[in-house]
Amino acid sequence: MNRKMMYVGLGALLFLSLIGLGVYLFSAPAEFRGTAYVQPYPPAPEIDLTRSDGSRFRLSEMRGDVVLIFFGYTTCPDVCPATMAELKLALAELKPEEAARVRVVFITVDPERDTPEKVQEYVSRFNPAFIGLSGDQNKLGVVWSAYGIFREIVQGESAAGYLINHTARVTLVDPQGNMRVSFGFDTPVDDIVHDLKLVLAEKDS
Amino acid sequence: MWKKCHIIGLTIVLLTACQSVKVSTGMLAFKDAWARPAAVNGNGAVYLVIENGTDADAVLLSASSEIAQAVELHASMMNGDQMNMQMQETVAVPAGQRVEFAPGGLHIMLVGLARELKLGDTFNLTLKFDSGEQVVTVTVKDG
Repeated sequence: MNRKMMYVGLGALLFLSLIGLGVYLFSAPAEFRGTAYVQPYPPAPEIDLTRSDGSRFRLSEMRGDVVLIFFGYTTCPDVCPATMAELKLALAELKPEEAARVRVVFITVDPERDTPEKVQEYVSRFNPAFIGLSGDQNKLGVVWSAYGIFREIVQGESAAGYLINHTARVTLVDPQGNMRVSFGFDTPVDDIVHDLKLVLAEKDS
Repeated sequence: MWKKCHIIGLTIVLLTACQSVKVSTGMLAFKDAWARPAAVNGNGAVYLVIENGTDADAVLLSASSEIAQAVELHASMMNGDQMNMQMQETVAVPAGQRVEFAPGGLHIMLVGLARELKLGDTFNLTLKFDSGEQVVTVTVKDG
């Protein structure tokens, strides 16, 4: 009799554990479609540069908003405009109140040719709310290395002058200032929208 | 009435199906030539599909347009996360094949735009092949 009760008890325990496991698995946060960072999320390194209007830009002042960061240069005819066009489309897919909480920041890898004005004008063509940043090589160098940006000037035959091989990845910084997910070139717009909505819907944000 | 619709529908389906078969139209064809909006003096890129429906291999030697100071053949290549751009001397379009110029890959670079490219604008691009020149109309759109 006691043994029977023990089996029943063990069965019930196993059953409850399975339910618990199911609840845990299915209530786990929905997954990012981009390349996700794992916990503990790395804080996004500070970016401290001067904007084209002379005001100071500090990433740490963007808390409360989601920030998408991309490094490129305005001479670039293909991958950089393609990425900006993608982000423009992604923001257009969000509700206006969601899009208002997303900042797009484009930082040049070509300070020799890209003045702050030139970069700002370049990104404004995609969306007037996008932020374009340049600065002196030393200040930018700090940012490039903090974000692991590869940058290589290639002298060639092009009438455009030198070209720059560079890292082309968009990094998403959450409202707490942590890096959460990044998107390689050619990530479908729907995937970016999906991940933006996930971060925007988080309770803490 | 419904029968007529079905016949038209079937014809469209068949025509579409024919296009996906190996290209053998007897000519070079150019499809969906487009460029993104861009600023005057800035750079741009033209994307299109070139279909070689002839029996002979074709080689794109160069391109030119009044829209830009220089027009060059380039290819972007992703090496992991790193974007590398390389100028191409020529682009081969083998007999019966199609070559796609698309974002993140082959593109025809417009260097130093003579005027702003606005949505809906069109401009001519001359493609010089080993077999002769072809003029393509490019439409400015968002992608």
